[in-house]
Amino acid sequence: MTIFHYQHQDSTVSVKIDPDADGYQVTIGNKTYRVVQHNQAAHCIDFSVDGAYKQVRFSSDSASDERKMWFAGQQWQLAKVDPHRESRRANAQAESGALTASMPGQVQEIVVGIGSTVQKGDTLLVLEAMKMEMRVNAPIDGVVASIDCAIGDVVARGQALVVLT
Amino acid sequence: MFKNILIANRGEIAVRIMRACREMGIATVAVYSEADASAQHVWLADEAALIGPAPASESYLCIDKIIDVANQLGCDAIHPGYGFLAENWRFAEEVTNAGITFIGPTPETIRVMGSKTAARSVMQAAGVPVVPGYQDGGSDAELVEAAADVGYPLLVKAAAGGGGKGMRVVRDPLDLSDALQGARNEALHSFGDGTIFLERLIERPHHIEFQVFGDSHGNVVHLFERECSIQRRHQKIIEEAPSPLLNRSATNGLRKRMGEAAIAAAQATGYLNAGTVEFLADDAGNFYFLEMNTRLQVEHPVTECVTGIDLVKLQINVAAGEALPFSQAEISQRGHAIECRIYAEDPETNFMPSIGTIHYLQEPTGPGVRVDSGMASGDNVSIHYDPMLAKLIVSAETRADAVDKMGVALAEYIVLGDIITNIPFLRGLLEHHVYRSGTTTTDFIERYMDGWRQDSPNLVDEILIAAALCDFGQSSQNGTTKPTQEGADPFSPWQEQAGFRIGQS
Repeated sequence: MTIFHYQHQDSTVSVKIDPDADGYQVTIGNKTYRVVQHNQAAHCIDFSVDGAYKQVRFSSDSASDERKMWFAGQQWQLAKVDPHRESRRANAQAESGALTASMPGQVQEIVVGIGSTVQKGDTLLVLEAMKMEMRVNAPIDGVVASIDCAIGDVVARGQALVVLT
Repeated sequence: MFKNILIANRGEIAVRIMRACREMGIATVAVYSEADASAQHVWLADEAALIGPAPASESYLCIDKIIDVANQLGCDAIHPGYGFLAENWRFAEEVTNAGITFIGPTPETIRVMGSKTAARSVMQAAGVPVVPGYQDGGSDAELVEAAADVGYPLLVKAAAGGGGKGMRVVRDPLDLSDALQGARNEALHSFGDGTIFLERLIERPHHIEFQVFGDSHGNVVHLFERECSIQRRHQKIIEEAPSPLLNRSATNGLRKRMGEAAIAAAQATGYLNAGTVEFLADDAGNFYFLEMNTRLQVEHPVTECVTGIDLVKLQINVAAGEALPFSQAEISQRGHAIECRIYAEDPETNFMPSIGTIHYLQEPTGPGVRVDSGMASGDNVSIHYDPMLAKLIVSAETRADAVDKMGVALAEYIVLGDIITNIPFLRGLLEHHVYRSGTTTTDFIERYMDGWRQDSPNLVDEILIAAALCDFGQSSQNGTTKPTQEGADPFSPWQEQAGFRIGQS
């Protein structure tokens, strides 16, 4: 018998899976299902639950134990978690005045320099991607402590760009 | 007829054009950038040539490189698709000068229609109604004076503009000077041409466009209309044919009047090949010329669905000198078709583009469902190109049936990976009663969909079971139990050890 823990948004669910002769007993909360797996390929898994056929499609990010999953017209994002380990995903950046890219793009222009004093709303830099131009503005009054990108850099969504103190 | 056509484009439209060529027995040449080395359009072409690095300015926009490839590989025609060089009159001219047929209008038509102000003048002369405005240039003081005649609210627009760039809405005359300056700067920055003009703002219009076609024998027809009122950031995301507005206005003959105006517009420019005349129309039955697109449109499939005419094949035949095979009276619309543009973008953050790898892609299918796609599982969506992944087109007997069919097809559209798509947004939009009623205007998304958030569905046990099956399979592979080959299908006949032979019992 094996127990897996999955995090979906803010809640964690435990799933108990127990192989038997030709399938599995799967228990979620107070419900137990008879599950037979029919087929599995890279992104597809076909199985029956108490005799009803189901198809689920998924893509895995093995680095983060996260899966994007599709079933019957809906999508979910599920992360496998180890409840004995503290989640290290606390967002250290958010506390420090670090500004991250809200879209992927190319750094078109950097308006400020290190040490610049900026006021809330001032444009710090300009990103451009696929016909769209986006100004990254200061969320607070502050001083530019560091600039973590250069003109022409291709940045990912969530990548740190500028730190204000 | 042509023997070998180069397609100067990428993505779904390159694939679409290549399929038409194949059906006609014409060989195809793809051009591609380093980012597209394994893209669908490269696989599908008979020959493919690398033309440069990922940025379009160093690859898909390089006129010389593309013409060189066409010469080297013996191409007798070039299809530009849409976007990139499709409306670049210099490209059309240089292709023609190289002795290759440009599948599209003449360079002169492209040049004139590429200037919104020149196009307005041509249309006014041809008696096509244009939005009241002022296009004669002058100092800011003169423009301020002209604005009073145009009337408020008004739009300051860039003559070379498109996609909402270099455009400002002015409701208060006091804001005009700033708007003139802002629009001029943006136009200069984006298009290298700071020419601006004024147009009265038509509030809450319907965007209705007519497909036109001209041949080299002097025939011009229209293939009826498309309504494209569902737009975000001045770009269409849902288009349909016929137009619900024109269906409602059948009694005042609006469709007929607009069709005649579209023909007049095409004739005024000596139009050759496929083009689109865009109009703004209001509920009172007024309509105004907006601009003419001198190319195949993204949304051409809805016209193909309701008229039964393959526009790409027709483009190729007409470019080869053939006459249009039908008269205006022989063209009719039947049923209803809707297209949704599937974008890699995040509707919750102002439709910002989303990039990354598509790990798994399964496109919908079924009766009346068409997917024009240039993507496959494993493809990467990069920052270099337009984030449109594909177009989903459905056709049915009535609009209501088509809307229902689209809803089902979108529910079956699976895109799993690093990117966010607008599929959930489109599904939400289709459910909206105003969309269902067919009375939408171009402000629909701002007015009714602002602040849209995707419902996060409750977790269902099927998902948890699937995850547990995957993880259990993985842990038993890593552990002491006998490993099973990943992807092995226990029901596959290839796994059978018995002497099974196909065709024998």
